[in-house]
Amino acid sequence: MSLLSIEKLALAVPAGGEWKTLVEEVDLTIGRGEAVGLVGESGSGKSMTARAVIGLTPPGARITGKILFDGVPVPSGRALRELRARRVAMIFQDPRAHINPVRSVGDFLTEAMVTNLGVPAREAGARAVRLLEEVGIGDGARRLRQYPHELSGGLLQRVMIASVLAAEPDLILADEPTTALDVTTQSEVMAILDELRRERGMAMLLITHDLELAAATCDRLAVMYAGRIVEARPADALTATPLHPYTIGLLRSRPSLERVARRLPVIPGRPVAAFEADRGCAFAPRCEHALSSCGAERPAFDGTVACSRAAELTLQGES
Amino acid sequence: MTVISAEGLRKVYGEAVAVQEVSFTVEEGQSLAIVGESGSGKTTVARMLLGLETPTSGTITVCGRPRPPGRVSSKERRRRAREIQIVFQDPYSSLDKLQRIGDVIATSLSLHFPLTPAELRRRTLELLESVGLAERHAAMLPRQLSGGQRQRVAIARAIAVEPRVLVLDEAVAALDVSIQAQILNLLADIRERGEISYVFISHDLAVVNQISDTAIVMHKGAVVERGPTADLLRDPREDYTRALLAAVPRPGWKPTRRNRTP
Amino acid sequence: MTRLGGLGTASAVLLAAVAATTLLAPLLAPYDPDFPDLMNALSGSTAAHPLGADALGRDVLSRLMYGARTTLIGPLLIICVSTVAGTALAITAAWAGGRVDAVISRLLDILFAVPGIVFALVTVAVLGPGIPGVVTGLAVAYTPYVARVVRSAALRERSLPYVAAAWVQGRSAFAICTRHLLPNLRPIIVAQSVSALGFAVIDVAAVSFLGLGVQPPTADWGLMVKSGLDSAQRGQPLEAIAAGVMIALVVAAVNMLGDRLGRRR
Repeated sequence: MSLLSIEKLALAVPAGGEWKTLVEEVDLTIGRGEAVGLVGESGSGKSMTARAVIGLTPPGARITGKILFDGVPVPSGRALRELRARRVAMIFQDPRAHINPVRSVGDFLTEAMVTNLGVPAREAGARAVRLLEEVGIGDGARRLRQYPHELSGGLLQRVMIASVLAAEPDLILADEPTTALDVTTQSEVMAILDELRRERGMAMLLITHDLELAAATCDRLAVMYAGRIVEARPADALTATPLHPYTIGLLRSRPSLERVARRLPVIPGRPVAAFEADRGCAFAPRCEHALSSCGAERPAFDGTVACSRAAELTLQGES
Repeated sequence: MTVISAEGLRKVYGEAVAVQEVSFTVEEGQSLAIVGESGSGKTTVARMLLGLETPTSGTITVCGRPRPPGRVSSKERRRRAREIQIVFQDPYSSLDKLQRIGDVIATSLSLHFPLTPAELRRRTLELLESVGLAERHAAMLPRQLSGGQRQRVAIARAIAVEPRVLVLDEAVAALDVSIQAQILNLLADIRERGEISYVFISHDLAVVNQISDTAIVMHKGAVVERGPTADLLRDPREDYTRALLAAVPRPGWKPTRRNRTP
Repeated sequence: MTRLGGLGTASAVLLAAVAATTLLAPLLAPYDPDFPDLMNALSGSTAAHPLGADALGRDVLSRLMYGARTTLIGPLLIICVSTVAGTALAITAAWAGGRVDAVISRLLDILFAVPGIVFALVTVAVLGPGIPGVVTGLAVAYTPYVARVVRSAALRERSLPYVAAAWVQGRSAFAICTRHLLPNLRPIIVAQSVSALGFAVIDVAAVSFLGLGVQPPTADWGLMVKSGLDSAQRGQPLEAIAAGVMIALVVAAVNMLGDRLGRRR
C-alpha cells in the first residue's frame, strides 16, 4: 500500500465571481521511503497539489477527489494539525517567511519538539544540537542562541530541514527548497536532504521547476502542465526517452554545459494555468507535433503519459 | 575596439569590501559573462558600470571616455545612456506599473532622438516587434503581460537608445525554463543584428555557456578565474570554479555534501 | 464604489451630504443663523426650532448647517497645504538621500514632537485669533504627519529597478519624481491626507472651542460646543450635543474613508 495516494484531485479557487481551476485530474502515489519529483513551470499547479495534501490551500478553495495518507483520508481540524506535526512535514522555498524572526533558532527547534512530540524541555536542547550537527551545522550550541536574521538563506534552510527531521515524519513535502539558494548551497542542501531521508526511510515529494535537479534526486518524476500531470515515470526513463512533447521541450530548451546551440530549441508561447487552457490538450497550442484533433479533446492520463500521439512519436531525450 | 575597460575596481561599504581589484575589458560585439554566487560582488560591478554606484577606487572607461566619479549634467547622462544600458532580473519591478508598454518605449526614444509623433509611433512598434511583441501590447499595462513578455519590454526599452553595451543582470534567472530559452535566443538575435556587446551577469553556468564568449568568475568580491567561456567550463583551474561547475544538476549528477560548515 | 465597502460608501455619502447641505445652507436653513429670536432663547426642541435655539435665540439647526463651512474649510486648507508641502519634502528627502534626507528627517521629527495645538497657539499669538492663524499653525504641524509616511513609501519605490532604469536612460531627477514616483505614491498620499483630515477637524474645533479660532458670532461647530456647554448648565444640552455629534460623525466618516482608500492597493 502506498503512503500517499492522490486520486482525481481537482482544486479551484474563487476569483472575480467564478471558479478558477488550478489543478485537475491529478493521480499520484508515493510509496514508503520513495522520492517523487513533481516538476512544472509557473501555473502548472505543482505547489497547489502538494499544499492540498496538508490542507494549506487558499481560503475558500474547492477541493475534490481523494487524498489518502497511509490508507486513510486526510482529516481536517485537530487531526490534520496532528498529522502535520508528526507525519507530514513541509519545507518551503523561503525559510525566512516560515520561521518566526523574533524567536531564536533554539526556540524554533525545541518548541516543536516539546509541544508536538512530548520531548522533555531539558533534553530538547541537546537534541537540537545533534540535529544541527546532522544537517552540517557544527557549533550548534552557539547557533541555537542566534536569530534567523543572523543566518544566511542556506543555513536557515538547513535549520528548517533539522526541524523537519526532529519529528521524523513519514513524508516530506519540499516546495522548491533550493530555488532561492546558490548553486553550491543547493547541491549541499539537496545532498543533506537526500542522505538523511534515506537513513530514516522518509518519503519525499520534491516540487521543483528544475527537471535536472528532480531527475538527480528522485526515483520517479511527474511532469505537470496546466494543472494536470502529463507524464509520470521513473526518473531515468523519463529523461532518457520522454514520451510527452512538453517533457522533451523542457529538457531541450534548457541550455547545457556540454554544447552550445546557435539557437536553443524553444517551446513557443508561454505556460498556461489550468483555467486558461482550451477544451483540448492544454499543451497543443505550443506543441510542434499537434494535430487538429489534439485541440478537440483533452487526452486522458493513462498513468504514464497524457498525449494522444504518445504511441506514434519517437522523442529523443538526454543520453 | 574596446568598449569597456574596468581597472582595479574596488567598492567598500563601511567595513565590508564588496568588490576588490576587479579589472576586465569588453571588446565591441563581444559577450562577457560575470559569473558568481550571491555576495560575489557581481551585481555591484554591474551597478558601477552603469553609474548607479560609485567605485571606492579604480577606473571605468566606456567607449574610450573615462567616467570619473561625481555629479554629471543631464546632457552628459543622456550621452552616457547611449553607451551602456541595463536589463534587470525582476521583470515585475523593472517596469513602472502605471506606465503603458508603448509609453515605456516612446519615452525612451523621445529622450534621445528628435522624432515626429508619427515616426515615434512607427519606431515604437518596430521595437516591440523586434522583441517579439505585437502592436496590441503597446496599449497594455505591465500587469497584463507575463513575466517573459515584461522582460522583452525591458530589453526593447534598453535597445531603443541603441547602446553600445547591454548589461544583463541575471536577466533570465526569474523566468520559466521554456521562456528563458526564448529570451536567450532573442538576445542572440539582437547581437547578430548589430554591433552590440553584452555584459552578462549570472550564477547559471549553463546559461553562461550559451550566451558568452569569455567569462570571469567572481568569489567574495574578487576575480578568481578568467578566460574564454568554453575553456573555463571544460578545464577549470581554480577550486572555486570546479565547485561551481560540480554543483550544476545534469544527467548522471548527484548532489554532494562538502565538508561540514562550522 | 464597491471597493469602498458598505461602511466606506456610507461615509462618502455622509460627507457629500454634509458638503451639499452647507453649500446650499442659504436655501435649506429655516432661519438666518445670526437672527436672535430672544423670545425662544434656550427653547429646547420645538416645532419652530427642531434642535432648539441657543442662549441668544439663534436657531441651532440653521447654525449647524452654516457652521459646517468654517468647521470644514479650515481643515481642508490645512490638509491641502500640508499634503503638498509634506509630499514635496518627502520625495526630495527620499530622492536625494544622504545629508538632505537627514536634515529633512530631523526637521520632521522635531515638528512631529510638538502637538498641533501648540503650533496653532503660537501662530495665533503672532497673527491674531481667527482662521488664518489656525490654518498656518496646523498646516505646519500636519506636514510631518503626511511627510513621514510618504517618505518611507518613496524610499521603497525609489529602490525599485524601474527607477534605476529610468535614471540610466538619462531621465532627469525631476521627471522621475513627478512622472514615476508621484503617480505610484498617490494612493498612499491620498489615504494619509484623508485620515489627517479627521484629526484636523478635531484640532480646528478644539482651537475654536478655546476661543482662538473662528470668532463669534460666526456659526462654527467648535464654538457651538463651547457656547452649548453654558446652555447645558442651564438645562438645554441640545446645542452642544448636536454640534458634538456632527463633529464625531464627520471625523468617523473621514477616518473610515481614509482607511478604505488606503487599504485598496
